[in-house]
Amino acid sequence: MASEAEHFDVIVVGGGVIGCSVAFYAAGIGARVLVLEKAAFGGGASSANPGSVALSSKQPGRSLDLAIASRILYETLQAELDADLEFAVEGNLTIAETPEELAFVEDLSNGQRLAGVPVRSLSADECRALNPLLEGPIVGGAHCPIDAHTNPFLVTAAFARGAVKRGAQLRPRVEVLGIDQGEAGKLTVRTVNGPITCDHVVNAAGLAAPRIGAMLGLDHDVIPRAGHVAVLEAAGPCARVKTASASQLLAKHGPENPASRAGISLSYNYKPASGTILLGGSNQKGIASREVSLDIMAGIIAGACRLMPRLEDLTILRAWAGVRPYAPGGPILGRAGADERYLAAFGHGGDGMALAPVTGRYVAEQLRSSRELSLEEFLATMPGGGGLAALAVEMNEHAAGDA
Amino acid sequence: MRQADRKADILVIGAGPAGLNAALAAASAGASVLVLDENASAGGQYFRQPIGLEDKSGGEPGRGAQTSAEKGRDLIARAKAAGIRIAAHSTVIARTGEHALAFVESGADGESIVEARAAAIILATGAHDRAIAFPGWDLPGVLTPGGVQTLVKSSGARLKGPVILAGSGPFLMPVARSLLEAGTNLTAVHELARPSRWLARAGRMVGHGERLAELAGYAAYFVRQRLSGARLDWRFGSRVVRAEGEGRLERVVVARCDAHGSPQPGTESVREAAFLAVGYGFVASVQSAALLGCRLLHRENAGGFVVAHDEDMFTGTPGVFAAGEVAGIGGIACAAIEGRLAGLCAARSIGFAVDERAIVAARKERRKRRAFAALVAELYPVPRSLYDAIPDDVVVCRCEEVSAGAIRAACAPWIGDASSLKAATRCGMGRCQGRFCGHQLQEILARENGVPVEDIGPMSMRPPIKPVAARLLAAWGERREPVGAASSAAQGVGGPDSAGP
Ligand SMILES: Cc1cc2nc3c(=O)[nH]c(=O)nc-3n(C[C@H](O)[C@H](O)[C@H](O)COP(=O)(O)OP(=O)(O)OC[C@H]3O[C@@H](n4cnc5c(N)ncnc54)[C@H](O)[C@@H]3O)c2cc1C
Ligand SMILES: Cc1cc2nc3c(=O)[nH]c(=O)nc-3n(C[C@H](O)[C@H](O)[C@H](O)COP(=O)(O)OP(=O)(O)OC[C@H]3O[C@@H](n4cnc5c(N)ncnc54)[C@H](O)[C@@H]3O)c2cc1C
Repeated sequence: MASEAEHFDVIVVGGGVIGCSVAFYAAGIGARVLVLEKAAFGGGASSANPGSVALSSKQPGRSLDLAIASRILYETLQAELDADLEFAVEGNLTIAETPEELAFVEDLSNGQRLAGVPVRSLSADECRALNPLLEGPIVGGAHCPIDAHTNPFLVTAAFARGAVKRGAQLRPRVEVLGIDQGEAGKLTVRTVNGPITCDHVVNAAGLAAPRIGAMLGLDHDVIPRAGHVAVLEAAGPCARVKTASASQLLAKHGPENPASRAGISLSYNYKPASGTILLGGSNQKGIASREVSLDIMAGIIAGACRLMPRLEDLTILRAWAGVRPYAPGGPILGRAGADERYLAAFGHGGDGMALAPVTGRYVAEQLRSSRELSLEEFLATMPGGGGLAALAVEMNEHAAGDA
Repeated sequence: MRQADRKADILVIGAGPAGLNAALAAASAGASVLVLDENASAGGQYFRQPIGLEDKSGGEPGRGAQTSAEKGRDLIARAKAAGIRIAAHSTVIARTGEHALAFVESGADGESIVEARAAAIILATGAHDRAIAFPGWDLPGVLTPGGVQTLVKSSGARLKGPVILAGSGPFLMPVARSLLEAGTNLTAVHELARPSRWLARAGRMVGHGERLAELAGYAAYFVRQRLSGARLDWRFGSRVVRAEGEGRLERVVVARCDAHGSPQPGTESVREAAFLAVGYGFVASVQSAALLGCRLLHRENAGGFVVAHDEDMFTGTPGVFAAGEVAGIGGIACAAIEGRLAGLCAARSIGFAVDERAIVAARKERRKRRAFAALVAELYPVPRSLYDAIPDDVVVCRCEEVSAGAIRAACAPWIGDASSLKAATRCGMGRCQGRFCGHQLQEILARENGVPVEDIGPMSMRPPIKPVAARLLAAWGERREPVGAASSAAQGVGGPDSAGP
């Protein structure tokens, strides 16, 4: 019996934080949305990150502009999603271990300050005052007080729940196998459960985005970058400020990883809600394996203990590895290719958790607009660096009020 | 342990009846064998050796431990005589390459991480108690049958005050016996299963005389105890409803149950108790198997998610075999024959000559043991109503203090697997990595979504599978970093070539 295929306004391929955010905002403008997830919602890169929502790790330009817009959206996201995301504004401290690294941090900070980010350069002693665990050899650093972190699982789940509340349908274990463009207005998405039609398809398939693009004859470039995170039981005194080594930024932005091919560096993130410390990380370019390597895990711990010797007394509960879906020019968003029924939302590399809100909003705006809406145009409608200044002032007043 | 000890033809994880028999069989085929076990001495759950036994050099072991510990001692002695190296205090924590594992070794001069390599690996990691949450299960004084047996077997500890044993399964009998022999005041046993289940299956018991005799032996023992004046009250078809007390266990509320395990109204009664041990069979300890990427499948009433394997105990992961409870709950005789079969087949798989007739005979005996195990599983079902009955305000994950209500609230049709629900609730993210709460989360999600537990899958299990001091990993990292990191990155795993301090 040939029954009519189901039809949706929008089919989102991929149920990571990006796909769920797109679904939430698209449903918010009244679209009938279906999200198809091959495996489990949030089971990809979105559950493998420590949830840093940082500005100080971004290069000035498009990447920082997106991060600023998203950071401002995060400020009200818990209310918008009616969920506790364990969002905490505890700042980020970037530390340099060599004069060369310090020069790199200075350069990056200068550019960020021009965009309105309140980053302050610090001496080694000032770094230690902020994070007393830093007893190892450092030469200085920079501090950004409005950098934040969140619980990545809760963010993905809250976007998913919010989308469902707005009428979206979420289906796990439904892999998209192909997309037929046809002649008429509709696209046909072929799945393991049969065909479904839609007016628009959004590619939020993370690492697998090139495969989805290829179904429409497009050639997208997404490169895997594996990363490890170890979970420590937080016991004794813990510094609240997130602390990352400049080598992490060099591994992220530099063409070559300086330390080794595994790109091992320090990223310390205390999670008060769970009483754990998340220790990163590695940046293994071109590696798509999620298998934990004991050598890399141990390399991360060894490096962290050189900078923060007191971490040696803690216990490691578990470790995981995940894969960043990295697009060389930054995330690919909005219309991509000739078919305007196809929208891209992938390639966020190591920034997808931070950029999820702005990505969802932008894609939803593009869905609403009958003409092409450039990212620049869209960002101009968002509160930008000016909004950050307001945030920083608010924080200072807050701090003054506490004192 | 000397450096040379870390390499062997065959590596066995777990020194219980399955692991020791596997080691003996492999050694008989000419393979060199290394057995790792996390406990202070070899023996596993059933053959647990009293601590300090070796120091006593033949001195009197704890009375309760006598028969099983002695059998175990015998097996261990035979293994040692066969040249098998048994490393106690050695906890496997991670995979480091193909057929290479890292374990934490604790010795006189502290702990360190060591690597063991082999051509084949046999998983014989056993099982642990299936504890199902109920009001008051987190009070001090509430234990599991395995826990309480370990307490009396390994340390000869004598529990002061009235003790109640409850739950379901044939193993309640040996535990009750150990408790009585250790001189504890065991006042009651509440077995949820009913003897009527036996009558309905009497026909299928033919041919399992030896195993039945073991069970009958226990029954006779308890009858003798009764005749000689012990006040032990053995109740079938009843279970613990809640535990109460100020700061520690004082009282246990029990009730008669219907065929689905639900308490019948008006049958509740209160018993005084200082200790309560409750368990509904076992959950296979599959963490090491998960490290090695072995496929798991769900066996209701026989261990939950267990390691999948073929009739030669081969798991499908090259060079990896499984035996004993980790491959499905089957009791000691089943563990022993599976160990033997796995040992022979593992040796054969790496080129040792093995008498085919020995394998055929072992397969045959295993089938018989499994048939009996399947029967026992039917006699002692774990009613799913026990999971439904967990009240919303009761904590299910003790490490992270996640209540049943919080787990149920996080369930949604689009949350299709245990790992997603773990991520959403933090249930299973603590020190025990879901060993005790994992099955409860799976059952709750399966119920909420109306799907079989098989579909829910096991929770993700991550290395290190047991908590490890950061200092130990830092030391490993300092030793191996540049080479290890680089070559691992190239391969995507910590490959064998990156090894070797
Ligand atoms: C170690 C590590 C640390 C990180 N740290 C941070 C950080 O601190 N801050 C930050 O902002 N970001 C961080 N990131 C990056 C962030 O995790 C990612 O950018 C983000 O999760 C990407 O989300 P996504 O939805 O695009 O991808 P994913 O979460 O991977 O989702 C893509 C989904 O698509 C599904 N899919 C694929 N193919 C198909 C198909 N054919 N049909 C249906 N579904 C399909 C997949 O199953 C998957 O679930 C980190 C990443 C890693 C790995
Ligand atoms: C309380 C109790 C009473 C029982 N009574 C009976 C009885 O009377 N009759 C009967 O037939 N059966 C009985 N059983 C069942 C019996 O114990 C098992 O059938 C038998 O022990 C299974 O043997 P095994 O070798 O598979 O596992 P086990 O004996 O459990 O041995 C597994 C070993 O592996 C070790 N291990 C696990 N993970 C690691 C790791 N990562 N690193 C290092 N080591 C590890 C464990 O610590 C353990 O020592 C009882 C069980 C219990 C709990």
